[in-house]
Amino acid sequence: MSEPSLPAGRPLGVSRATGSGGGANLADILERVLDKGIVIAGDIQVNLLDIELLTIKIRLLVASVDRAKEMGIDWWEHDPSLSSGSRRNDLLEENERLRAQLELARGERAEQ
Amino acid sequence: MSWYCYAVAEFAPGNPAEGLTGLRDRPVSAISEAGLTALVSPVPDEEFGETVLQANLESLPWLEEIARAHNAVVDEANRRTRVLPLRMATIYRDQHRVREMLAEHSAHFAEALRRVRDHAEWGVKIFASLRSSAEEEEPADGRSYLRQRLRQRKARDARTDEAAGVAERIERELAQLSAEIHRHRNQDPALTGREDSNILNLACLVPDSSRERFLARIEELPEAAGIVVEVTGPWAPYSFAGIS
Repeated sequence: MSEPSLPAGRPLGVSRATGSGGGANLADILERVLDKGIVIAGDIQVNLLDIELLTIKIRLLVASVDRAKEMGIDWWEHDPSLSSGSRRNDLLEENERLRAQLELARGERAEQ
Repeated sequence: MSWYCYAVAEFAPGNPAEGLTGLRDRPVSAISEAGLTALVSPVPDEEFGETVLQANLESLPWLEEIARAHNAVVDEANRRTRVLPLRMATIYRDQHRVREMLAEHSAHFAEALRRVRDHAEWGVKIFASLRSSAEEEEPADGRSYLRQRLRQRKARDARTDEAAGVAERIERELAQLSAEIHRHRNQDPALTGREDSNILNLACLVPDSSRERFLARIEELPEAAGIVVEVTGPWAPYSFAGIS
């Protein structure tokens, strides 16, 4: 069987990132401290957004801010889903909404 | 004041938290029970109490700051002794509750610590360019536009399939040099800020004795054109700390 080959375009090579300390990339850290590690119940109950939902949120936020800047508005300052939806129901709703956005985004990327 | 818990280690006479600084510049201390030691530091309730904590966790700059500080403590402790990282924001009301937690889960912690002893976690990410590099000319009409779109989509699908094949081959190879392997979700461009796509995102639990062989093998990996390999580590065994 022949080895699959990918189109050229980027230099091939291995990069050794700076490791696991202060210089590590935020995504690498978040996928470990948010999604991994031992999960045991503490005395303070919080609902952590997983890394996938966090990513979508960042993407939506960036897109929204760009669009809003163009239009000169600041509605996100008052949007509870982008500031502090502190109740669990809000989060569940938000999670569903983000998942729907994810499906949409996946569809759009597949179209590209 | 509550106690933020970073990680758990096997009890040893030396204090693994000696001189470590935790969140908000408070010193990290060690609390031991049942043959185990938890690394903790005090955090103010005004910032880490339940209601305000939930709101803070949704602020990306706050989340980043705490995530980095959490990792810095775990990382430094893990250089001194093998630790099991706890998930971010595991907080107890007082030191007595931390001892209760250690006692309650002691069998599981001991088992997980045995599994990761003399091992380290390494991250291996593979990136590949899935976009067409060729500039195409503007389609003359609707029909040629649709043909062009179809052609582009087919080409992209083919590149995606090839990339998936490369990713699987690399995963199989690295699995042979690892005690355990975990495939993380591929990283989204919103987080990587890269043009090319993350096609494989692995965490490998590698015995310290085969570290050199593992890293040497990775150096040889990019046989296929257009592939970029990124290695991070050694990490504390975050991806393998789960109590199974």
